[in-house]
Amino acid sequence: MSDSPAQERTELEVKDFGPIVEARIDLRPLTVFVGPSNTGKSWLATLIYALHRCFSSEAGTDYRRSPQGRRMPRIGRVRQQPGEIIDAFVTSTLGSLLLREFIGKGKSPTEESIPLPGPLLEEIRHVFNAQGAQLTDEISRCFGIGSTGTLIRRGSKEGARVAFGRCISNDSKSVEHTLAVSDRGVEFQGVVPGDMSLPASQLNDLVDEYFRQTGEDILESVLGRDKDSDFLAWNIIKILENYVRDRVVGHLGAPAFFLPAERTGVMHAHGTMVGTMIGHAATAGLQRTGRVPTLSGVLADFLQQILEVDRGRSGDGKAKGQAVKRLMEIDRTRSKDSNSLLDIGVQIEDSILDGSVYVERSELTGYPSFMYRPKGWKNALSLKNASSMASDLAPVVLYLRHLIEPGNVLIIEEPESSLHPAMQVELIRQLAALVRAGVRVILTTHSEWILQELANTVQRSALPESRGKETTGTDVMAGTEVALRPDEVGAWLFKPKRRPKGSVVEEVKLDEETGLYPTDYDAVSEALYDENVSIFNSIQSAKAG
Amino acid sequence: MNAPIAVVAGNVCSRCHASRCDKEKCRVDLKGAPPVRVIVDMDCDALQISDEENRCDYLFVGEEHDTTCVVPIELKGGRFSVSEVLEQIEGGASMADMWPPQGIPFRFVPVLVHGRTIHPEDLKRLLSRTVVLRGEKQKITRIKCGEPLTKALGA
Repeated sequence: MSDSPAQERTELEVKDFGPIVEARIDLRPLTVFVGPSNTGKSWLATLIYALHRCFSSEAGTDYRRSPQGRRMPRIGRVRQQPGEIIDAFVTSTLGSLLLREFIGKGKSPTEESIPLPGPLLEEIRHVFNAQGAQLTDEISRCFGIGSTGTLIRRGSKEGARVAFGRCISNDSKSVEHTLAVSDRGVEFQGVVPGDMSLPASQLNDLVDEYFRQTGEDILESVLGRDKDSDFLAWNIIKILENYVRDRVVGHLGAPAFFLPAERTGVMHAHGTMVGTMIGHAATAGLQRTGRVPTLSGVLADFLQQILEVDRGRSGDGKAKGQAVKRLMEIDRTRSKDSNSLLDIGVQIEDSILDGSVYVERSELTGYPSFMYRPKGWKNALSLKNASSMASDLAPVVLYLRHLIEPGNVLIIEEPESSLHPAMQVELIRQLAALVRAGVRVILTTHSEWILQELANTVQRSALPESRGKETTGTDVMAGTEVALRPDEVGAWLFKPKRRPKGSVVEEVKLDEETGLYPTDYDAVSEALYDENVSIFNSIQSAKAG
Repeated sequence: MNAPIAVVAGNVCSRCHASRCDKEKCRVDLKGAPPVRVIVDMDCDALQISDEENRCDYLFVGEEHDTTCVVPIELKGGRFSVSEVLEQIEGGASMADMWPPQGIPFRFVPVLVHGRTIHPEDLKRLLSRTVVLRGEKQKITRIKCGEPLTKALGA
């Protein structure tokens, strides 16, 4: 386990899961899985995705941004199922806010916290365990399997075990939840801390935001409105929900997006895939099982998201190609001024794709086509006719433009696919910038170039401040490189193991002497070297003899 | 001792004859290596090679069937530069040209013995270069510290 100085981590431990005999990792802002094929990198990435799907605030809801962007929920769209317990908490919290308005302004907000009452904690436990109970379905869906027995490593006698939770270094307050996977399903045991208190500072932020958005006095708001439809009440619930989620599952409470290795194929063949599935849908029940095409959850989610990717920004879902192109141009102009996720998407287009990608929808059906316009070209190409690099990276750009927000998790399988080494390096720089912008990134890779740039990214953080300012920073648009601290990056090597048969996962530490991550790629290079020398020298000796 | 080995032994001051290859926390296992041999410690003062001149750590000259194998050996226990290794082995090869008799059949095997993993890019640079002895051009054979020289010799 890492000895990084990070104070709070989200840890994940698996045993006998898929091909993995044993793994214990902590999920850092940038987490990378490396190792030979069939050692379980994608298994672990998919498991992490399933956990996010189950416990994130987006679980079971629409993944898209609202047409209004990132505004807080509107008054009136609230109170779905708070119950009397939550009502009581909201009422008392509103009372605290009022009290602070009158007498507490001089007091430091960090000194205050609002203990969650016992009945509320009990309600949270109930809801959390209910969510955990859905893990069987979510994990099975994400892996696209019919039986949870498939998740258990062959040869395992006790079934698979997964433990995860939020961990505070050297602190007994760490939280650990467990999943026991057997042929019969997944048994979840969650732990909710018994002493949670909502920090008042978070409520202060709410009040500030409230004033910023409405300009109304809080007293007027609380006393002058029906509390059941009150903006503040709704947001207290949201704050409570986020706080509890963070305390209980840590970073696994963030919405996650998964770009599977098959994304190029999907970008090329989505029309055929969708057509086939729709064609079978009407008669699915009449056909023998196995003839109806199915997808794993990660692939199905990707297909669904990519087909709808521009809907959030375009609002009514009937955006014309020209309108989307105009929007894209606006985005590109904006990118000169700030370092947002949009900017990083634009930077990927500029520095790697050497062109732009966008969605064009059929006026008749609204079905999307994905277009790539090389720089300087008047006409765009369908991605089907563009290079595989464009198909591989288009989803990254489109997700950054339309779906992903700071705090989200982006999982990319094999980002090096179809990329020249120089472009792999550039992509890692952009992903490091993404991490700096607040998105957590998980990669699976076979690329030595990616690991080497990652090593450089970490080493930059050790540069003296004066030198660091020259070569690091957040101004990605200027083409500078981003630095990430060692505790922000975790590289995990999946190593095959003979007995018990499977793989084990170990952290790869940056070698201080070489400044590189040691991996098994070197062994391949050395074997290739030795063979080349042997052939060459034998030919030379034969010539001489 | 056959004639070429005897000539080399005679050309090199006996104080510079070594019985093992061991430097920089790295050694070569000589088990199974040609028993009729001369190992020259190239850092030996008696050779009167100036410090500025590049040379390898050892020169192994051994009897191998009907031929003589000439093996410049560079030992690197820690981190090293590929350019430096190339220069040192090339320097060793040019000195090896001085001692064995001319016109004999020989096999030339330049060897790098290393302790650390070599980065793929360094391997590519190493692979792109050859070392020449009396017209015979060879790439550098690589073994790990502690491994037998026979592995490099292909025996």
